[in-house]
Amino acid sequence: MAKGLPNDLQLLAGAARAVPAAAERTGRIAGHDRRIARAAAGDRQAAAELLGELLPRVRNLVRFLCPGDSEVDDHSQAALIEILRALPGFEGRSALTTWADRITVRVTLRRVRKSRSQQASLQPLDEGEIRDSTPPPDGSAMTRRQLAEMLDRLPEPQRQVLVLHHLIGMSVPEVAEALEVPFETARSRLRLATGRLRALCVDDGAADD
Amino acid sequence: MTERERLPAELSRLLTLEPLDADPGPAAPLDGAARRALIEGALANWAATGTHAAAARRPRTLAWLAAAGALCVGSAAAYYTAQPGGHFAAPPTPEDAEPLQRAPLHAPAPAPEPAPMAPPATPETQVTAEPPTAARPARAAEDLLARANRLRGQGRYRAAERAYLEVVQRAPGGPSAEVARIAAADLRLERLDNAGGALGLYRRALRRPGPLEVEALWGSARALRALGRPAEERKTLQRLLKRHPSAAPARSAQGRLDALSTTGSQGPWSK
Repeated sequence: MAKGLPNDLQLLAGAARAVPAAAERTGRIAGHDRRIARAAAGDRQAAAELLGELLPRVRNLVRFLCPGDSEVDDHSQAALIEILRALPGFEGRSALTTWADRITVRVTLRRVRKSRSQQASLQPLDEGEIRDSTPPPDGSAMTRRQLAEMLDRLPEPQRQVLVLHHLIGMSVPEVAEALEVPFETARSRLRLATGRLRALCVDDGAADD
Repeated sequence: MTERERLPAELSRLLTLEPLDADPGPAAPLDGAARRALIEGALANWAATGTHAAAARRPRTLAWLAAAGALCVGSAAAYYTAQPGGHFAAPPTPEDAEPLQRAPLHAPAPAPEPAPMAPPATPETQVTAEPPTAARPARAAEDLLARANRLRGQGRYRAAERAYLEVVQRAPGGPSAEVARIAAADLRLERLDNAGGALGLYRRALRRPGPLEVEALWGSARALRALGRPAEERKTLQRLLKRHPSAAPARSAQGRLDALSTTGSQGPWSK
């Protein structure tokens, strides 16, 4: 076993080097992608390739879900680990990316809840942290980042409801279940979040209405 | 009218997952070394906790862990030993004993004593202690590698360097340490204006060539160039091209080698 590892890791290193181009080029990972079965069977190279392609999406989703940049990579790595662990149970009925989105949401929310429970009170958003973050050079990325920063200005519960509903496409009952809140609470938060975001858009002149 | 329809059109356009596949998203950019470290950390955790199929086929016994080979052993050791307030049965090997100031990676928290380990404590025997829970290795991986990545992402390069070296010191010989060593070397070379220190780390990585040998060779060559040592740089580039002719930096390495041959120590190639 040990004898084969260096080659596997050599390939892993190659896969990791190839990540940026692959991740930016490709979109979804189909449910029937052969690497999924290989990774589920313990193939390290296949797992590394899949993680490399999933990583940008996972990080972006985490960033949409959480205020600021400081926890993005921690949460993302936890999500990747959970994705790998759950891979043998993936049935291929949807795109891997869609399935991975759900896991990322679950892991991130769990970690946010845990972090919140460890704090005496929710820390207010650190404006400086947001302003100091490095803006991506691309114009569309700036806009997307601005949107994330706008979401940072929403109360956390409202932000989560809005992201789960509008970004992930969960129904309100699904959102309520994911957040472990009553249906009416989820619906109310969604309504508030939507209204608040609209107001922020108007204030910032970022919206086109 | 649904809640979705009430969103401004511009936000609806951005609040979809599909564009995230093709366009840069809201997360801050991640450089190559941090990306590799993040992925490697996840993979190492996957292997160390025995959740991948290869491990699942085997009982997670002490005997298996002892026979798993230096790489898996090192990986497991990294996560079994690198706990908040954890214990390190064996000191780092001399080659890994970096003169570093130990960074307070996380607030020390009381942790249960690991199971008794058979002396003498070597990196291999450390892993004979089963972790109290499967979650401990995961936490350690996140606490160490991910924290180093985060510091790097925040532009706190010296703190990130210390954090990477902490990983090296805690788990010498493991894949996590290898990634961390290269990441620390890259920081020294590219951000901390310490080419000499970077060269030392790259060379340590090359003493036991592993999966990141390409990065170590390429880093060594760049460090040697920064130090103005063209003869050694040439040898390193030749070694890289001989051992990894199709690796990503091979083309640049060949270009630099050509430049060294034609113009002496200087050339158009830039680091």
